[in-house]
Amino acid sequence: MSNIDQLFKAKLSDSSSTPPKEIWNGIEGAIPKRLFFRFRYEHMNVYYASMIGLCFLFSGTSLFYTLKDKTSDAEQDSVLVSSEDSLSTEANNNSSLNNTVQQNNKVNKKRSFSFSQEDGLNKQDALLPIGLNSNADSLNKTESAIDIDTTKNSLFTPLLNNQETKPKVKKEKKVVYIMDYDTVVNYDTLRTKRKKK
Amino acid sequence: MNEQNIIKGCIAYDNAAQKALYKLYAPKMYSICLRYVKDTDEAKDVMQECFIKVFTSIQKFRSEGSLEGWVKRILVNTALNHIRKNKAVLQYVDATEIELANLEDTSNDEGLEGVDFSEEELLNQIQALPEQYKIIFNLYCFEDYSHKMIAEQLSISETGSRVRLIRARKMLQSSLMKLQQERLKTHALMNKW
Repeated sequence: MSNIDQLFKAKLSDSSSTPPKEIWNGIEGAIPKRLFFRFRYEHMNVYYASMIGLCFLFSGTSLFYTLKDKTSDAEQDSVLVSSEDSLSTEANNNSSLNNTVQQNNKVNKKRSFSFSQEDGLNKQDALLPIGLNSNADSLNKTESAIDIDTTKNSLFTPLLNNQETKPKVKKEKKVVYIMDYDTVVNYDTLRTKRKKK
Repeated sequence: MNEQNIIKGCIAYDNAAQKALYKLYAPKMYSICLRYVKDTDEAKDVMQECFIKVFTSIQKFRSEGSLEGWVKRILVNTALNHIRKNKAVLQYVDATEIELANLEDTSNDEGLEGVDFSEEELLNQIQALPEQYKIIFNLYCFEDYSHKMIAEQLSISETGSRVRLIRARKMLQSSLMKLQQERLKTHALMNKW
């Protein structure tokens, strides 16, 4: 060992200096954190309790979400089944009609639905090209004035029967409208096709 | 509270025992810490890490050696790890044997005889050394590490360790000489006035 080494060693080997107080505060705060994550036999019960609690929490949440999903699926299924049933009954009813009546009925349904959803019959009137009231025919006869003998005309009976099953009154109006004016219906069919494009 | 009671208390994670151990060894450890790191902020970090290690692994301490030596060893290793992590300066270029032969260890206390340097002055000289020289000088001079041990600790060759120690000594000698000259100048000025 050289002289320089000895000089330094003699002076500094036993030297001491007062450390700042923050060091102890930092140590005091850090030790419990370090020990918490370290497994110790003294903390056995705490670890077990926390593990059991976590298991319960996890199983509870998973059970809750699985049950929630099941109920929502069941609701969706019921909705689908009811809509499918209604569609199938409509299809059965319409199958008895010829092609022209089917087309008219479809167009009529679409139109009536959109009108009832939005502005009612006023909008329907605005869309009509011939500028007629929906409740009136080309001769300005009102709906009530048009008398249809359903028993005589077998072509329209299924359609009327179908309309009777539906609770809404608005849908009955459109039936009258279709039957009398095929030209108007054809025009609207083209219009809906254009809209789709 | 004697050392055995402190150890027992620390094993049981008793706060009073931990504080007693800290009070007993902290001043000395802080002084050692300052030799390895640049400033007090780094020294605080190293001290905290060191004592946390001491308190969380005191059950591993075997009463064969002294507790102070054990704490000191932990401190030195923590300081070295801290320097490695934060600075990555321990990228030593291995010196060749030729280089070592050219470097003659001419460091001595010539011109420094009878001069009394304070602890602070000497500590400042060590802290002013480059990182790699400082570590090797500290390990060799204060911790009594051999060059082989230093080489293993720092993953360098023994020759590299020797070369850096010689350079560190030369740097310290020259800086102390400068300090002494400044002292003499100021002393002469004072006498003139």
